[in-house]
Amino acid sequence: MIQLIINGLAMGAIYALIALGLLQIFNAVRIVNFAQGQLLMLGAFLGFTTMTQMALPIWAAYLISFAAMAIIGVFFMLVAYYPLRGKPFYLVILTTIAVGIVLENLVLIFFGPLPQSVPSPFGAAQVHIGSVVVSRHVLFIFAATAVLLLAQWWFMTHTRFGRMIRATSQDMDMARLVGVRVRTTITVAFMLGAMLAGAAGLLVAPLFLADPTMGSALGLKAFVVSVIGGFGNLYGAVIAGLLLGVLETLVAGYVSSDFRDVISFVLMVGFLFVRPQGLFGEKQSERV
Amino acid sequence: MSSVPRLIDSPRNLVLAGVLATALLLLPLAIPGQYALQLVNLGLISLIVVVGLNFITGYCGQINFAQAAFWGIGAYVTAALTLHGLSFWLALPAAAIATGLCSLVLGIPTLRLRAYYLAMATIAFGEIVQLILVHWEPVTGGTSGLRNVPGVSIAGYTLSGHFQHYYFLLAWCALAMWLSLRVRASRLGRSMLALRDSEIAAEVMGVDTVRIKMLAFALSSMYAGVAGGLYVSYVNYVSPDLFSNAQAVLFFVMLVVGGVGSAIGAVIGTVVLTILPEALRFLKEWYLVLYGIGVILMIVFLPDGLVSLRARLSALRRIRAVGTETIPDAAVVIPLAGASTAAPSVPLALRAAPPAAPNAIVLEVRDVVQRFGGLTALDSVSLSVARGTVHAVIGPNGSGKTTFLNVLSGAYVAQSGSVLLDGVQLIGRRPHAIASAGLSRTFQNIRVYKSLTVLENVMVGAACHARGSLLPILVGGKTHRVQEQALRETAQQALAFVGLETFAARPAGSLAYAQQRLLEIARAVATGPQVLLLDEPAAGMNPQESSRLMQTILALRDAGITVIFVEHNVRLVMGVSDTITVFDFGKKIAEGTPQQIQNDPAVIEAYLGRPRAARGGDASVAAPTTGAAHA
Repeated sequence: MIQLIINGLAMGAIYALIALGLLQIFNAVRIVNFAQGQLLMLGAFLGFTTMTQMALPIWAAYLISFAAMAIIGVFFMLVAYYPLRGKPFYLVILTTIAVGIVLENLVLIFFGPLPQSVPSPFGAAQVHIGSVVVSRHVLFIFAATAVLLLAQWWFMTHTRFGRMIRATSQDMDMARLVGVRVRTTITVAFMLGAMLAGAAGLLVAPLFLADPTMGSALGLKAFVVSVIGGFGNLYGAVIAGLLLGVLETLVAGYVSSDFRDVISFVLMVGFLFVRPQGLFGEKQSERV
Repeated sequence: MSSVPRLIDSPRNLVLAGVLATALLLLPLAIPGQYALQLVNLGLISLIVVVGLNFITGYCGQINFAQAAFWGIGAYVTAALTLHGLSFWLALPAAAIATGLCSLVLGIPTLRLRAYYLAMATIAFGEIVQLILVHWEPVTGGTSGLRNVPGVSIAGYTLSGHFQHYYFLLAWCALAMWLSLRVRASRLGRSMLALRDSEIAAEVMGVDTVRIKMLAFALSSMYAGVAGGLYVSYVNYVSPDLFSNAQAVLFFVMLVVGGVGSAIGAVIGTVVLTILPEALRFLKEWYLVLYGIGVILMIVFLPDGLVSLRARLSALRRIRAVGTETIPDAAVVIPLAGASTAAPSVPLALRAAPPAAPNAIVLEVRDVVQRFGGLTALDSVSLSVARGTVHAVIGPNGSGKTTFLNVLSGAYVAQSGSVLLDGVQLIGRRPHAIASAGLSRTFQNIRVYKSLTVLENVMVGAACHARGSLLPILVGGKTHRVQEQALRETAQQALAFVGLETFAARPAGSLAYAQQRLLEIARAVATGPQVLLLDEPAAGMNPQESSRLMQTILALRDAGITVIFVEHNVRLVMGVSDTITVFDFGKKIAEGTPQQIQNDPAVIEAYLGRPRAARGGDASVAAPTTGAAHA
């Protein structure tokens, strides 16, 4: 039981990380990125290339992967968002999906359809706490999620750039008028969003391998977690992610693993029915 | 243009339609081989799904990624029922009902929220349906699916072969298109496009936007359900892999590539994306990469789809020809105050219906408080508006005037207080219910429905009290025709009242700024309101236009409509108002006749600050600099 809960928390921490990347972009431009899962998948394959294929030291591999994700984030913004700002939002959502399709198929072409293994910085080392066995990688996931959440929160509330991002999301024209460099701000938001996705990919791949088609299911989890946490709310997303991870693992362990993904959907629709603002969100009101 | 879809409104189009119909009937004879004909048939089925998608995505502007899942549900329900011996003709309605119910489960929680919630819920739904189809083996047959599904029999004759099915499916496509165009030409379709352009502007015309979106979503899903039933009884086999999210995205892409909001666009997109994968087969695994890139390029460079190419080309041609012909200037044609001999008067049909128990006070506002976070925008505001008067609300910027109108019209829900219209509590009602109760409005930042014509804009307002079920809209009939005719007449009268009757057929977005303001007034008048709110109606108008507006407001009053308006144009305010209420920092600071207000020291102070002598030692109180601009 405790073992299951710990595994669930590890999965949940991954969900939380994907959601943090999704929300980084959402909180800047109010666009839901439907390619967040594919960005995560890219992160996993960057890990595979740098660590398994090129056999670089871990620190170098992580550094290169994050740098590459930052560049991909900028490219992503230039292709999928920037030309369409101010256009109907369904067009932007469709371009994010199209970028996702391109990324997934490029990876399929260059790496083949088979899942690839990616090593953890901590190898297969395990820690025994009483009767419970926890891999050091899982502990690493917890630590990384906590650090990234705090860093993101601090960045958004305590730095000039964070304030600029929040100003941009409130009113792009007004932000520009008071001297915010809107394009730079948006670029940074997309860079960070992609890097968070990359981090999630690097962390999840040692557990579940790097698979070209892993993105869509994990991207959906990011939606579910964000809705439950209150869309836009960072710590809400983390708590919702952990809850969902545990719940799914318990259902898979005690009921049936066939329907474990159905839970997240039922939860999401249930929340939208009863409490659309999520656990920690504020009620929506439209400006006239 | 009335109940007959607009496609066939001229002899030239009639000939075109005839040629097209003949070509479609002869098409199978020209198609080489069975495989190509099967492809055409599958394209026809896709077309039904995409024309269905057009209701919720094209007309209402919402994202629906569940169309493949609905298609699959339709196919599986039909397959399971016909395999148990039920007739196709009973299984197909069952499939439509099943998908309709699914759309309720998805739509009811999400359609009242921001638009991306439906997108997320439907894409998750697609994933779940896929899982259930694979894992619920006793019913769905798991990954191997259901085989030997019976075909369609019509009066004892069983359809067989691609050739026969072509005509069967073509008939269904024609029906699907026809219904879709009928909806577009009805008040239902106008409401959909109106809410796509501006939800709040649709609400204040009495459109229940949540209900209309739900209806559109249900129609979309039922189209997909029927298409699924047709699919499975055509290929006699069904397996889960076809109903993936990739397929849902493909349906969406078909619509966007063709042109969102246009049934013709749906046809173009479906044809292009049915042929393309076959034509590009040599690309093998690179096809999907190029497909993704193609979609991005398409959206960036041609966001209105292939259907907009024609308009773009003709616009180009017009630009080339501009030197030779003179384009009539809209602004010159508008009847101005000096030009019209008689003062405008509200036609009888539009006049406010006399209330059952006439009451001197039509609108009673008591202790209304509206806070935004820590800011109190309205601080315990009370005021009474006498029936048949013109009541101005003025005050410096940020004093709460527009917030006040937003509370009255239901755009904001006040934290406390009450607003009684003829004794009926308005706070807590949604804007469309408030509009039905007899209070409509215009907007400061213009919100005409740009994708509708001028006349259609006003017809949305005229339909405020129109009732009736979906059925007459779909199948037609005399009641529907009579109702549409009545709406058109009301709308024409309202347009004539503001002097825009000559622009009835123009796209609303093509009107000049001041004309769009008048159009908003006509639209609101067409709802037959007791009380009409005008938010800065004279903004952007020249002196002639605002004189004409002054007469318009007086004519509204003479017709028994109570007018409440927010305005900065002092000449207009002083010229037409019976009563003026002055707001400052969310509080009512003065109320009275124009003469009383002009001499009220509190008002003068709010606008211009205290005189230097009276300020004494308190030098830190600066005069509000904004005041000078209004006074």
